[in-house]
Amino acid sequence: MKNKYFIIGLFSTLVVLIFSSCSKKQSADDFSQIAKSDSSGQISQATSELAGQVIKSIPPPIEMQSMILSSGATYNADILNPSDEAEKYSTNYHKAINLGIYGADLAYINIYNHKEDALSYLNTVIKLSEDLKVGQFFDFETIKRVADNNKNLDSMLNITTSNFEKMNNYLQEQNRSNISMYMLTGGWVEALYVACKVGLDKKNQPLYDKIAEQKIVLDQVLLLLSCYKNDPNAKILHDDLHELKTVFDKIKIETVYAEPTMVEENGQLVVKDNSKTIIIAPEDVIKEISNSISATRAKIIG
Amino acid sequence: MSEEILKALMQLFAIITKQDDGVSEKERLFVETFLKTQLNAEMVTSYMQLYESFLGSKESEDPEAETKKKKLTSVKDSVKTLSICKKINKTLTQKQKFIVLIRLFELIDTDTVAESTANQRSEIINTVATVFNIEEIEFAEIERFCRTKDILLLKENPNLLLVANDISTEGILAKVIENEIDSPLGILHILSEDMYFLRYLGKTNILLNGQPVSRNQVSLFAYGSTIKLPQGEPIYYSDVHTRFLASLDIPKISFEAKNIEYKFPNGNIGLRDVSINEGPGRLIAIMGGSGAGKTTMLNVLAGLEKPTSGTITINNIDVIKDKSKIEGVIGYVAQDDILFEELSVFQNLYYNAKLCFKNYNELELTEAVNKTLKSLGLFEIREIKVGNVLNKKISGGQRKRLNIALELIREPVIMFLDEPTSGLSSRDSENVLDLLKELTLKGKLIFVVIHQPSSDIYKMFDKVLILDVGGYQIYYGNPVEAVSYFKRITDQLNADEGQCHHCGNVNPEQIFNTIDAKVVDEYGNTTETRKISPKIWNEYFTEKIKLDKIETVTEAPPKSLSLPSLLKQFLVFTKRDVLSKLGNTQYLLINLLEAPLLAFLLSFIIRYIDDPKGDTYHFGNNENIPAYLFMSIIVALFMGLTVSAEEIIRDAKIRKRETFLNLSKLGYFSSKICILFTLSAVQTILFVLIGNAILDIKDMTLSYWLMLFSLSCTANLMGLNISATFNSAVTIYILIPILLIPQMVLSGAIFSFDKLNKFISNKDNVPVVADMMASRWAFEALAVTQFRDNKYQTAFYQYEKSESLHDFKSVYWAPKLIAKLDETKNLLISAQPKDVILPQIENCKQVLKAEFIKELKANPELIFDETDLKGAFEKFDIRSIDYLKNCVEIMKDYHSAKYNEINNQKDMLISKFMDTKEHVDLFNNTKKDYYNESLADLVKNQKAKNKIIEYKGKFIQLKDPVFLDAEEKQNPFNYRTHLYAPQKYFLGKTIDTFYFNLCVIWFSTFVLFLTLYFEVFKKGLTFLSTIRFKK
Repeated sequence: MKNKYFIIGLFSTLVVLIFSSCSKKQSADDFSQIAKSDSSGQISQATSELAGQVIKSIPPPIEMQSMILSSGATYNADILNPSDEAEKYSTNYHKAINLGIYGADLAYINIYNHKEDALSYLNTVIKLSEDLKVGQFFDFETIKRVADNNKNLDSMLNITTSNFEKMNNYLQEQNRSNISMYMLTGGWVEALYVACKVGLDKKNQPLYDKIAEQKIVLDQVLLLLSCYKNDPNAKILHDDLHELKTVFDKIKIETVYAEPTMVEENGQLVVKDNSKTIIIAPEDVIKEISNSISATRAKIIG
Repeated sequence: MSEEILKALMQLFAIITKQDDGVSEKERLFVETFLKTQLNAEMVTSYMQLYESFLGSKESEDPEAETKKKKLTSVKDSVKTLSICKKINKTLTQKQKFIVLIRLFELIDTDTVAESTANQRSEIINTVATVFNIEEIEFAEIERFCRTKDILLLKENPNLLLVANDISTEGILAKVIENEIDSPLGILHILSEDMYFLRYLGKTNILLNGQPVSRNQVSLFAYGSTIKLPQGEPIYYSDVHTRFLASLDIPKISFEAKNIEYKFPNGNIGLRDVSINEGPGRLIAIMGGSGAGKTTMLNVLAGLEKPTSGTITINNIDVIKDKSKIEGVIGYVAQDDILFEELSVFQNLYYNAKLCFKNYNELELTEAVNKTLKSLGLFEIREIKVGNVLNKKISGGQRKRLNIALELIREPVIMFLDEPTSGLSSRDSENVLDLLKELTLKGKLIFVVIHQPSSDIYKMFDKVLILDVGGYQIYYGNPVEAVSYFKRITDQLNADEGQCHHCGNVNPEQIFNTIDAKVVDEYGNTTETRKISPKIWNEYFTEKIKLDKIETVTEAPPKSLSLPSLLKQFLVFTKRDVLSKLGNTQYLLINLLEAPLLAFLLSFIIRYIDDPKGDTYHFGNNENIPAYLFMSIIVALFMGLTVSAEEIIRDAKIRKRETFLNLSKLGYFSSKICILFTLSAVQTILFVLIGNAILDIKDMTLSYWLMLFSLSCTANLMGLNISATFNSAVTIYILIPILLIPQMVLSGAIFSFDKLNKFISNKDNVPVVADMMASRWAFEALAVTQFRDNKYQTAFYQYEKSESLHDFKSVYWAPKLIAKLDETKNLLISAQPKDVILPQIENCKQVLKAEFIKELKANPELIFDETDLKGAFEKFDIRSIDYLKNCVEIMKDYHSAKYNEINNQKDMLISKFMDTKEHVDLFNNTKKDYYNESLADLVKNQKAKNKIIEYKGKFIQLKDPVFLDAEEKQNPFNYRTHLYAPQKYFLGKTIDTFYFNLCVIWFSTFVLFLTLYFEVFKKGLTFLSTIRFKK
């Protein structure tokens, strides 16, 4: 008899449990509703000609990074976007722009030779590129093998750099220049951000100059971003960078013209350009740039 | 006889003898003789004194006063008699009371002088008989039988048997046995108690059980008694008994076994030329040394084993050939216990009876069960659980009796019992045999294999059949005679003395000592050689003992079985099993706690938080989810197997008996399956509820449960199959890992199918061996459904599916095709000899053509000029290659455009969640709660080095298997696909993987049910073992 009650008790608990587990379904169904609501609209693409042109003018982050190394600054992982944040990026825009950021971070880590961090950032880079269906350019096994071997760091750097190039080319080829554009912008933003941080820290004039030079790049970036304005994310970025532009406008870049001269080199006549570009980049402007870019970056990395 | 009874008797004797003229010398002598037969000399005197004191000093009284007092005393005595008889009523059985009554009659009869004036004494006896509840007719018969001076006068009494010489049967109602005798001998049958009393008034020396019968004595003719006449044939109890049976309503049966021979499967001979003829109402012992083949004999006679040669017939019906005709005629009680330990005595018998009698209602059944329990002295303990041998609840004797009761309740006309007394005390043994004897008195024919019976038991048998080593029949006849028979052959002293003169004991051991006597060597040591070999004994037997002829009955034997319908049997089986399981608290607790405990252990341990800093658990980040799926599958299989693996073997003995009763196998198996499935359903739901709750797997309870439950059911049937195939629990538990490990290895969860031995694996489909594993279907179904059918993924699945398709086509497939075209181009311009190149070119052409056809079929939007394309493949020269390359480029562009389109759509969809912070959180949380990264990596085959390979003239997509539908196949039965395919193609239909796999699992369950029902594995095993023996 005791057993009988035990069984009855057990079954009633079971029934209650099953019902309660079913009833949970009702809550938080906003997700499905939003997912089902009508989604239309097409992201317009910039002409490949313009895109190719602008994209070429954006320098790869590695350029600025090598200057950072020569400034004598020490490695500081805290200024980078943490590598485990990648999974929160869901839209193509976020994925691509952060892929650019992580790419820049990876370059920074690479020049400082921090293998442990390099691997986790590489992982993140691969993950995002796979999400964007450009993962085919990475052969994780090869990269890992290279990374394991300290001597080959240069080649790893080469591999990642060339992979980013390949990805960009491929995306433009595939008519997905928006992704490529976001990637490059992300890389550029991150490089600028790191340069500002390190530059202000070290009060390094060559870095200031380098930062100031980005005024030209920013114009190009804004030009291209305006083509993707129907992507709401891109629009926000465009507006933010436009803000940055007002700061950059405080920087004056003057070109002092001088007659070119002919110089004989190894028995050949070479025309030498004697014009000089004078960049006036006061520290307070750099500070303003730093603040603005930090804010933009913070929005990007979320 | 106890002191009390003896005292009571003395009082009775005293009361009777002091009536009328008082005690005579003869009466006093009778009392003394009677006491002498019961007691030793000392006690006799003391009881005689007691008798005297009861008599009182009557003689001294005045004769005149005496007459006055007479009436008074008689009233007083009557009252006294009443009280004594009531006392006796409480202590003596009805049979013993009859004996007391007979003794009283003897007492009066001694007093021949007072014959005419014995009225008062008669009155007292009358009173006694009334109090004893002896029927008037029987009382009258006894009185006449005891007091007659000529037995022949009673010839009209049908309850009398006369042993006489030359008697005319005219006007005689009594039974007659013709024999050499001087004066007729009468045997009275007391119908109510089935007792016999013997009276002989002749002058010759007649021996009853070796004791001379005195002229005026009325002797009890007990079981196994023998009357020896100076000239005539001996008269055995069974002879007498059968005469009376003939008149009762007894079944007509004839059991004939002719020249039975039996060979064991290994070729050894178990029985040689054994013959038996028997009619109803006999109790037959089968005896023999160990290994003589007693049990074999019993099994062959009962029709359980088929004799190699010879026939066994019941009422002319062949036991083996016409089994169905004698269904329910035979009862068989094996030596094994066939009781349900967890059921009570009553329940054991009740469910057994319920399976045997379809037309009994509840009340009748209960009544029948109670009656049987009462007759076996088990009624008092009917509510007690049987328990097992180690955990004894009821005694061994009670167990044995209950085992016999299972057959007894049916009252089959022929019964076979294998050592019903083994392991019982002599008291219990006697009880059991008494019961059997009683049944033979009702006309049943009972064969009993018995080992070392006591004298009393031995004498109860009507016949004994003795087997010797090697299955030789060496004796078949009267048990007491058997002793003399063997003594005579070996020329021993007192050969004619079958039993002890003084005590009437028979020592059956003597027989075996004689049979087994060993040759003694010159040093006086016994050797291993027997004096007389079994073969010689058998020769003596065939020479000296002739088989009794019996009349072959041709009418159908009475049946005692009416099986209920299949459904009813199923219900009874189920109820019996459920009650038995509910009775076992340990079993119940372990089986119900096993699942929650395992679920808790498993899920608690693997509840992994990815973020080293945070302590919020997210299902999405738990890398152990694929392992959890796999472990759940193993747990479901394991629970299913263990719960069922012992089921059938535990019931093996009971099953053997139920097969004997011809109870439905289908009903039995269905009941087992029904119970096990229910148990598995409970176990798996408990597992899923707890496991999924701890791991925070949402909205998947039903799918998980359905899958794991189905899997458990398959495991149940696997367990039942092995349980029905093998004969020991140890073998079965050793087999469990052998069954489980392939399920683990080939589940697809531990080892990737494309990285297996080339011999079993192929690149495009799941290997066939893995398809045989239920685990593989369950794992695939769970992985696919968990990945695809959750709230998060359902929103994006269709987008991601086409994304994956177009991405694959443009990124991997098209370049591969171009590479192939380049390869062809190189071959075309190569300088190698034609016969080397041509086959290679042909191969390339086939591959390319197949891919083109497939591609164009799948994408009707891609339109090329058909004739151009056909021409290109026909010519297949360098120009054609260039043309084809161009086509591939177009395809590539088409797919990449398609990809962009869908990717944008998906991005739009995601962007909708990016408008407010709340929506972003909703999106991210939903993803974390429903979308497991590790599982996604697994089903998307993220780790694969190659995303595409060429295999058997086809390009195989290894990327994103979960987005790749199964291809349509030529053969509608070809179900095969890659692992994690979201849909299966079967019989011209596309079926969702979850449901398809579920069906496959149930199909395998069904197949296993068939193998269980038809005992495929058992037959296979027997077949294998016969092969070995032949070698």
